Amino acid sequence: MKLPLRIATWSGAALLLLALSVVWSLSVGSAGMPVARVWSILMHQLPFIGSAEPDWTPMEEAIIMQVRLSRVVLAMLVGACLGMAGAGFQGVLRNPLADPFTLGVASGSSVGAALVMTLGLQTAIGMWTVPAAAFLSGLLTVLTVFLLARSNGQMAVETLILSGIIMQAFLGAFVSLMISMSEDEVNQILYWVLGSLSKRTWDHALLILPLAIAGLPVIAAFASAMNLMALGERHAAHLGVHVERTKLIVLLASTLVTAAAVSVSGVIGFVGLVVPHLIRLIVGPDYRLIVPLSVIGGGIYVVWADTLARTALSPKEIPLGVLTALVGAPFFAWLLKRRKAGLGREDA
Amino acid sequence: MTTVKQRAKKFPARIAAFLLLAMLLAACGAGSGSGKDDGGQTTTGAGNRTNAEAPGENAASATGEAGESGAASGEGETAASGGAAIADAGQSTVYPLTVTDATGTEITLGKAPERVVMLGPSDTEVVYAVGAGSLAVGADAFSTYPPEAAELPRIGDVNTNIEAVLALNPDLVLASASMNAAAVDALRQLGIVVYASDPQTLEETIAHIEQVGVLLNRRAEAAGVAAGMREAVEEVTDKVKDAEPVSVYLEFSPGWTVGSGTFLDELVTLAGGVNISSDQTGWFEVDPEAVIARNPAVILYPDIEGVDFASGILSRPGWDRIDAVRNNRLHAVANDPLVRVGPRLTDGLRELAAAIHPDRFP
Amino acid sequence: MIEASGLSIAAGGRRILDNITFRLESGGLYGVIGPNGAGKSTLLAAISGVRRFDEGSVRLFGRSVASWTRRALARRLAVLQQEPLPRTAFTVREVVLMGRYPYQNWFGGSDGEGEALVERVLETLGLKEHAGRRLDTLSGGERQRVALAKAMAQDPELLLLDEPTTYLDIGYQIHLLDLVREWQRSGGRTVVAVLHDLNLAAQYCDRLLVLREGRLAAEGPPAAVLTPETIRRVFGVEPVVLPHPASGVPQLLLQPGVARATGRNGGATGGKGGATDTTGQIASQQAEMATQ
Repeated sequence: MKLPLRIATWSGAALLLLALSVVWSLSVGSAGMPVARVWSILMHQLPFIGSAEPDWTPMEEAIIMQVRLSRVVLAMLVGACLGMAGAGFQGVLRNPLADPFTLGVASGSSVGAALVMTLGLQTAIGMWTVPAAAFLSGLLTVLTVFLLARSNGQMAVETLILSGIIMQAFLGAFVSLMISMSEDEVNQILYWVLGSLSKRTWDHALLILPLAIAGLPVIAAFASAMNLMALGERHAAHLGVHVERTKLIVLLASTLVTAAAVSVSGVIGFVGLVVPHLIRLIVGPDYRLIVPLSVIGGGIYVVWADTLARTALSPKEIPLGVLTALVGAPFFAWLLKRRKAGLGREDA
Repeated sequence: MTTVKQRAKKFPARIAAFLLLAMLLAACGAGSGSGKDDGGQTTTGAGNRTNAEAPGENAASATGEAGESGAASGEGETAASGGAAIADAGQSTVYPLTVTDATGTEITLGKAPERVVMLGPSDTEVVYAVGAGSLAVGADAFSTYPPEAAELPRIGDVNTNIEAVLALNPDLVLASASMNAAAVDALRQLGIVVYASDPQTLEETIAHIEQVGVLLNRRAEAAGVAAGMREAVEEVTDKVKDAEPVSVYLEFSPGWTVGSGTFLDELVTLAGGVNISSDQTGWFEVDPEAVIARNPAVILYPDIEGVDFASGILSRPGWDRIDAVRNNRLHAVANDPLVRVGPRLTDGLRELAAAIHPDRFP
Repeated sequence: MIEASGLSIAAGGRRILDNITFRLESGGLYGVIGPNGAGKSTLLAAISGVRRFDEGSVRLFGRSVASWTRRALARRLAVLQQEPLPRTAFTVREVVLMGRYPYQNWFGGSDGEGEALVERVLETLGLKEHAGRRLDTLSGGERQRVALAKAMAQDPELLLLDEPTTYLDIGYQIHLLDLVREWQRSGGRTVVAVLHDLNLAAQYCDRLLVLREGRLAAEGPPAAVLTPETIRRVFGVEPVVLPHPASGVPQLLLQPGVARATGRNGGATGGKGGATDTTGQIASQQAEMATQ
């Protein structure tokens, strides 16, 4: 089947699954509203379909439109960002364990957020203080890793990964230090680091929307180059790929969208790791399929996870990062087992 | 606003001055809903007030124009400090009521709240203590006292579930400005009226209870609770006032103690003790050597199910030389009354005092 | 076609390539030989534009190598590396199609004759029936064939081979080099191959470049280059040189125990002072490959 048709078919199927997930997610919640009413409220917003008389309270409408809908949209966007970033990182670093946090964005962003909270400056510039601090510190961390790993105008993949690990460890220790020294803020910091989509608003979704929209074409444009890089950087170079430029641009774009996601939701792990692998299992190693499908797949994964997070133990909310890890880690273990079976082959 | 001429004048002048003062106070205080004892109409000043209730009535208040922000600007502080309102305890609250809470936000109640949600157990205890339990429609998972509160629908724990709160359709939410900051913001953005508090001392706690009484139109009960608490404080401080202060070490979390600026420290001081850790502030991990050096006479810890403080304390190396250990003056005290910022703080105070000065509290 | 002039690369305090100058005309099959660490792979890297050099110049197809864009260069130059392709999940056909990357758009289209070429290449290299198999199901030798197919699919005028027979048994070695020579001659292309097997180099190459310690030690047709004196000078061994019964090209027969130390320094395998070790190493390498 020709590639454009394959992309269209798979994307169509994935989008359908996403739509169903969104429908399900909107229909359930702590407020315990009957599904029919949920959908009446939603339909009412559409210009032509809206029914004449609302038979629900303004509070119920606020629950659906302000709290639930914004949260589901945010879940989709966060998942999309992490999915495309994960595909980008894996494509360029060619390491099955690579995910958007490999180069230190997670602990980098956590340092910014924790610092602001420890100093009590959470509202220094309004509600955007913590996200802005997290975004900047995450970005700075990754740029530092780039500098550390650069030699001779090149950034070797192994050096990048090692530098990332070092930064993660170092900055993670910083966050722990701040946690141990803080009094009232311990909870705040911990819950931020664990990742959550609760108490976010439409503004948060609007914040990361432009970055998500801008990031996708950039990363997708290098998808065929990433296919070639799977053969090795030298091979790719000899086939006409600008290897260093590709690495830099893809890693930078992936980091930007990751930092955006982390700044609004905290650290939500395993999405960027599990989703591209899962997609690869289904559609094969071609990144021209993996990248767009990881975007949609990431959205589906986070919508599901967040729905579970807020309904499984309602009204208690499980931190989202905890849930994605609980689901993601066993899956990854299974993936590893599969791979090992394949790696057992002898090389003649 | 006192007149300077008071002392210099003779008796009639004083009465005249006093009457003038009273009228001025009534005019200012009326905006927050305090009527005069004569059952009066409070019509002077800003003109947005409607019928005040007859004195002594605690039933649901008069109807007011909803959505009013206090027209007289000086009214905010009266309610917040509870000054003039408290002076007229026993009157019903007049709505619409505008107050400024601990986050500096002005909130307005159009009428007496009928559906109240509490985001923390301290506020739950306060609500029930002022007799407004029937208004409570939801609380957090830690709201276990009084027992009726445990039956309330849950809206989350340390993290508040916004949807659950909205679903209960509250007309007032009580929260802690420090612990529930995010939830307070989120709820306010959705148009819910939230009153956030952050009392730091015993007196502030009592004032908060009185304030809740105003908000919920339970001023008489609130005044009663406040009076009871103040009496308890006085009783305790009287009994220990000429006693030698006793050095006390507090361990309220395994391995952690409290310094100055905390409730526990304040209560210990009122109970005639001296907190050996008061040179530092807040909660911090205990330095075992410092405790040995300061040699407290009494060690206090909370009675928490499943946590064995005593053996942890006794097994610390070198602590067997501490006076409190040698004289077996380790005491368990009830936990909740001392860590919840509510009406039971003074119960906790009594228990602390009895443990510190047992001879004064047979 | 390829002109190097005063090419030098220094790293880590020593000269990996030192003042290399040569000129290779198009349409030949050239061999680059020399001891380990002589700089053969580095020379290929410099020619193909992936390694920057410190002095001198390299011109490809009449232009400085640095002036080519990677994509434009990829349409005229292909490289076959020493290591086999990694075990990816891509199929043989997909990998060979990647050779058309320099000619394609993002979707893999607008390539005109490319797909037909790919099919022909698969046929030529006997990969047709394996075309749908994943790389991670193939042996090392098969993957090296796929790599060659990919290089051919690039339809280059110049093919560089970096010790392509290292991991192959003698059957595969002959097979591969036969294919390369056939392909080179039928299309009038140019091939430059780094080879460690001197006998194979003699059999297949039109001219040889001999490197030793970063310098060009000798250059010319095999008959002129593979003399006992040159071998002794460059490799430090004393072989018996005989003409091949069928083709007449010089072939080396090694003599264990007869070797003279020539003070090779900087070599990766710098022996313990005895040239005997060098002979032993070459002999054991031969033995290894025979048993693979």
